[in-house]
Amino acid sequence: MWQAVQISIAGICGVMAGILLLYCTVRLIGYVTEKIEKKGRSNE
Amino acid sequence: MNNLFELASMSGFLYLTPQMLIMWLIAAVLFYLAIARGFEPLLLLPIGFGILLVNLPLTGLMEPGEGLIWHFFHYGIQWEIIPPLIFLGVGAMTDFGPVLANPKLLFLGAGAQVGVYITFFSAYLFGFDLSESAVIGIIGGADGPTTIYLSAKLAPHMLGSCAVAAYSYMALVPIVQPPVMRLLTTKQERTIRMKTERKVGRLEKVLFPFFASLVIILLIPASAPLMAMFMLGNIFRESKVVERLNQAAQNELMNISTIFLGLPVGATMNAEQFLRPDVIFIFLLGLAAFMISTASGVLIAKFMNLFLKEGEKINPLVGAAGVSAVPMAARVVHAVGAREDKKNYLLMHAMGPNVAGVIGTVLAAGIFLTLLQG
Repeated sequence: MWQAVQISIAGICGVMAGILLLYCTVRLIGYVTEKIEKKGRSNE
Repeated sequence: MNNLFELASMSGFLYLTPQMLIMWLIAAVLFYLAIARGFEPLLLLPIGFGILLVNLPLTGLMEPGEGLIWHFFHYGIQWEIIPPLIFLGVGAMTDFGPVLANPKLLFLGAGAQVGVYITFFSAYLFGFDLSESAVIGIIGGADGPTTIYLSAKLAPHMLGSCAVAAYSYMALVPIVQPPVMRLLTTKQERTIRMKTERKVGRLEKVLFPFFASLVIILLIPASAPLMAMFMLGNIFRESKVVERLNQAAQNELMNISTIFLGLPVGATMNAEQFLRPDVIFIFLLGLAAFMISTASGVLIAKFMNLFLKEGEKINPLVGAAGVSAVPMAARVVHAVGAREDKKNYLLMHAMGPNVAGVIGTVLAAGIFLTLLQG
């Protein structure tokens, strides 16, 4: 019983951590590509 | 004359049992759903035929080491080949644009996985062991290949029933989800219009699958087989330099994999293994998992709205698309929203949590594998 509780909590936390990491990655990719595109436009 | 008697004595008609006839009826229901109602026909049709074949006596089609369908099952599913190939095709068909344009929608994909763990715990309380409970819980993710993959690894004896439950509920998304969505939202919430998302550039779309693979596989290495193939398919799509591979992954490979997934999965459902009281429990718990996942997605969206400014709020219906079931769940969200406000186009907004749900379910499966397989 205790093991099932632990797995449930670990699972929810693990999924949330994974998605949070992915969220940060997406924001970072968005930030970097925006900078690159801005630089490209200013060069034109 | 003796040969004639011997031939007659080896006829399958003599070995038919009432249980086999019941399984024929179950196959007939799947045929009806697939052919007459158009519910998930690509899978329910081969699964139904697999059920029919394995419940014909003396065929030996699932005889270990001998039978034709057993070979498909052993080398395709037990060797973990086909579910990752399906993910390759799904990746090639997936547009991550809505997620990249509005990354907070990713959290709805995670929120919907709460149902997986609540059901896992409930199944354990009902007497299933931890591995069996995990496989029942993952049905809530509404992702067929992931359910099959996890089941083949943790509870192979439940593979057939769990796969059929997962695909049946995916097919029944338009029936199962709307009541839950309406119950948990007010009319005012259902009419929230979300702002149009920015256009996502090509570079962003190309970079995403590379970096997503890195972070997810590094975090949960057990998710690698499914996640790697999912992202590889997306790289084929977004790089736009391997159009032949992209088309092959989306079409030929996906179709061939679907055939060799459905048939053996159905063939695992012989009468002795399927007609047991615990299978009814699996179906009921699977339904509960799916409904709880839908509810948790909607509730997470409502929770996020507490912290979002006016004009940036999320229509909570979109949270229901956090279960995988791509793209059916997103279409259902759009339909429910359009019933309140015909000009409210939620489809693209719902695609974000929908693809995030696929990632969330793979993560959940990877976590189960990490904690239970050792």
